[in-house]
Amino acid sequence: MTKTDDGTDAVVQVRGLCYSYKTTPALKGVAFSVAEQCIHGFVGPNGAGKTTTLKILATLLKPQGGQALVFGLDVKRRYRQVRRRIGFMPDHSGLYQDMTVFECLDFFAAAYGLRGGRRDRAVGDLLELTDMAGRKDSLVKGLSRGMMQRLNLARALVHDPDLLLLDEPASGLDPRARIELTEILRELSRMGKTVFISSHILSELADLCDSVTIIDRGVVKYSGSVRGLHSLTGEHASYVVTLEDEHPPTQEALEGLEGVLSVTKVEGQSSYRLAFDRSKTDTNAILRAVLESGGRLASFREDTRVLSQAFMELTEPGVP
Amino acid sequence: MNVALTPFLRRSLRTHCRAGKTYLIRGGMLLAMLASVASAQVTARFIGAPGLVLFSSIVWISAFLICLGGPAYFASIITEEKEQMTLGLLKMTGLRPVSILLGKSTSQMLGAIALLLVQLPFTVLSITLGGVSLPQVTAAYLALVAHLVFVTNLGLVCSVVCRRSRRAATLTVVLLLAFYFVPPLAAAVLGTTPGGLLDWAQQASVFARRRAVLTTGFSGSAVGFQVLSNLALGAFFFVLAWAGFERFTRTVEVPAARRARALRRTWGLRLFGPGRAWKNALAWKDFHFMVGGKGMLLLKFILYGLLLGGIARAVDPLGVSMNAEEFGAMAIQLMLFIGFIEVTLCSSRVFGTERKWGTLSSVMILPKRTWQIAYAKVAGCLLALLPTLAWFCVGVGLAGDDFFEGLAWFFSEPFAYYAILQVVFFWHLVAYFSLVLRRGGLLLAFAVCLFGNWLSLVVFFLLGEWAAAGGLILALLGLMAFVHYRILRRLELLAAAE
Repeated sequence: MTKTDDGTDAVVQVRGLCYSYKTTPALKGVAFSVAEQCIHGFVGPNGAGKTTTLKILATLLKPQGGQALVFGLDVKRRYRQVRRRIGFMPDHSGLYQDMTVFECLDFFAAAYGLRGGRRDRAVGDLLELTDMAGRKDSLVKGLSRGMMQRLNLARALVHDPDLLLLDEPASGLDPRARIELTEILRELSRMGKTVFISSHILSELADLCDSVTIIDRGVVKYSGSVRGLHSLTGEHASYVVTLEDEHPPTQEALEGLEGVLSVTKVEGQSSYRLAFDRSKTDTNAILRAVLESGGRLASFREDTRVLSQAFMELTEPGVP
Repeated sequence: MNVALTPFLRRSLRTHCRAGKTYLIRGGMLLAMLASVASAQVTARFIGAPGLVLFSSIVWISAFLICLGGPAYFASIITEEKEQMTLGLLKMTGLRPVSILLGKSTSQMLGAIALLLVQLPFTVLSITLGGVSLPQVTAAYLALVAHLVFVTNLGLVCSVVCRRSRRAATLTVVLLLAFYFVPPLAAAVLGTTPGGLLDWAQQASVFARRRAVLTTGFSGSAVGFQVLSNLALGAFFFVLAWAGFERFTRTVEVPAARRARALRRTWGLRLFGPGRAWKNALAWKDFHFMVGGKGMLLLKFILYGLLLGGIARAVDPLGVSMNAEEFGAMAIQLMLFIGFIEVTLCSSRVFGTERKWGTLSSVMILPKRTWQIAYAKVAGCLLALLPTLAWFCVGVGLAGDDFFEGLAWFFSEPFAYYAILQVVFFWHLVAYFSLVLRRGGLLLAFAVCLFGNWLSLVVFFLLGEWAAAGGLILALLGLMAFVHYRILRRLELLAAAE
C-alpha cells in the first residue's frame, strides 16, 4: 500500500488524474490521498468532478490520464481485484424494484461469491446494521427514499469491502434519515472501514469527516484535515456559544478575555459568535468564562459558517 | 381555440434536428429507395413497366414502415410526457386537452410525413420511367396519408390509456394486427359477400388499396373507401383520446409496491417462488425477475401443449386427420417459430431492462469481466426456452426419421448456415439497439436484416451459390463479432453514465 503525505497508509492514492467528456474536461490533474480507516469527505459544487472521480475509483470509468490506486492496485489494470475490496453506492437507487429487501441482498451476496452460512450471516448482519430486518420482505419499490438509501448502503457492504465509496448518500433525505445515515457511517468507521463520501455541502460533512478534499472545476483546491480548513480563513478559531436565555454579562466576560478578537450577538437569539486567537486562549478558557459569568450554557460548537466561507473562497462562482 | 400547435411543432422539430437517429432513419429510407430502384431495374427486364414496379415498392415500403414503426413512434405521444413527469406541467400551463392532443399528435405526424417527402424524387423518377400515371400516384399518397392519420390516432388513444410507452406500443400493435388480420381470417372461415361488413373491413386496409391503385389501367377515384374509412377512424380515435384524456391522466401514477398478479399468485406457492439466489446469481435474477421463473415455465408448457392440441383438433373437422409424424412436424415448426419470437423478446430485454431500471452500475461493478456478466444474464433468459425445447423434443420424437432427413437436406443447402447465422446476427442487433435506442430497436434490427438480405441476393447473383454463401458467412461472422464487442462496450459506457 502507498503512503499519504503524513506517512500513514493510503487506501486511495490519486495522481494527476485527467478525464474529459468529449471536449469538456471534467478532471484536470486531480491529486489527493485517503488514509486508512478514516472518513474522507469529497466536496465540491455541482459539476466539479466529484462523481467522475468516484466512478474512476469504482472502476466504472477508466482514467484518461494520471493514475488512481486503491489499496495500491491500479484501477485501470487490476479492476477486478479493486472491485472485490470496494463497495460503491451511486447517487441513484441502482436496486431491482421487483425484489424484496432480502432477495436483493441475497442476490448481491451470491453475485459476490458468498456461499452458504457466510451469505446468511452477511445478509442478516447487514439487515441488523441498517435496521432493515423488519422490512426484509418488503418490495424495494415500496421503500421510502431513506429506506432505499439504507438498503443501497447494505448492498454496497454485502461483500464486506474495506473501502466504501458513497456518492452523495444524504441527497434527498429528510433530517432524521440524514442523522441516522451519519450514525451508520460512524459505526462503519469504528468497524475499521474507510469511507469516502461525496457531497456538495461542506458543512454537512464537517462533523462527520476526519479529512476532506475540496474540488472545483476538475481541480483539487484543498486536501487535508477539516481543522486545516480553518487556517485557510486566518489564524483565528470561530465558535458559537448559545445560552438558555439572554445574559449580557456573559458577552462582557467574553469580550474581556485575552485573545478573544470579537464577540457578536446573533440577531434574535441568545447566541454569541466569537473569534479568538488560538495561540492566546482556548475553548476551555472560553467555557470557564461563560460559566463564571453566570450564563446557562445551552450549546458550544464550532462555527460552520467558517467552513462555508472557506468553501466559498476556494471555489469559483458561476456554472462550470 | 388555443390549439398551441406551434410550440409543440417547434419542440418536435428541434428534437428531431438534434437527434442523430433522425438522420440515420432518413438515410435508411433513402437506402431502401435506392434498393427499390435497383430492384426495379432487374425486375423490369422480365415484366416491363419499371416505373410501376418502382412506385409499387415505394408505396409498399411506406405502408409497411407506417405499420411497423408507427406503433413505437406514435404510441409514445402522451406516455413520454407521463414517463418524464411533464404532463402535469403541460396541463398547468392552461392548455386544453384538445390542444395538447392535437399539438403533440400533429407534430409527430408531420415528422412522419417528412419521411414520405424523402421519396418524392423517386416518385418523380418512377413517373419518368413510365408505367404509372399521375392519378395512381395521387390515389396512392392519399391512401398512405389516410393510413398515417389512422395509425397516429390509434397510437394516441393507446398513449392516453397506457402509463408506459412499451405497453402503449404493444396495445397499438395488437389492435393493428386485429384490424388487418381478423377480417381476412373471418372471411376465410365464414365466407364473405360483396358489400357485406367483412368485405368493407377488408377494403379499409391500405394494403388492399395499394393493390387496387397500382393495378395497370387504374381508373377509380383518388379518394376511395380506404381513405374515407381511415380518416373517419382517425377522427374517431382522436375524439376517444380527447374524451378519455382527463380520466387517464388525472393522477401521476406511483407504482404500487406489489408484484405483478401472475407472480403474486405463483410465488405464493413455495415451489414457484424464487427461493435463494443460485451460485450464478445473475442467471437466477434474470430467470425469476425477467422471464417469470418456474411458474411461467409451467404456464408456457401447458399453453403450448394446448395450442398444439388445439391446432390438431381444429384441422380435424376439415377432414385433415393428423398422424403422429405430422403432429411432430407441426410441433417442430411451431416451436421453432415460438422459440425465435421468445429469443427476440429476450434479446430486446436482457440488457435493455437493466438500462431502464438504472441497475447497470450495480451489476457492472461486480468483480467479473463484462462478457461474464453478459453471458450469465443471457443464460438466465435462455432458461425461459425450456418449455419450447420440451415440446420441440416431443415433436422430434414423434416425427422420427422425417426430422433427421429434413435436417440433413437443410444442411446440404449452402445457404442454411447463412440463414442460421443471420438469425443469430439479428438477435445480436436487437440486443445492441436496445442499448442504443429508447424504442424502435426491434424495428431497426429487422430493417437492417431486410436490407442485408437484399444485399446478399445481389452477392448471390454476382458470385454464385457456394461462393456467395461462403463470403456472406464470413462477412456475417465479422459483423457479429463487431456487434458483440459493441454490446460489451456499450454496457460499460451506460454503467458509467448512470
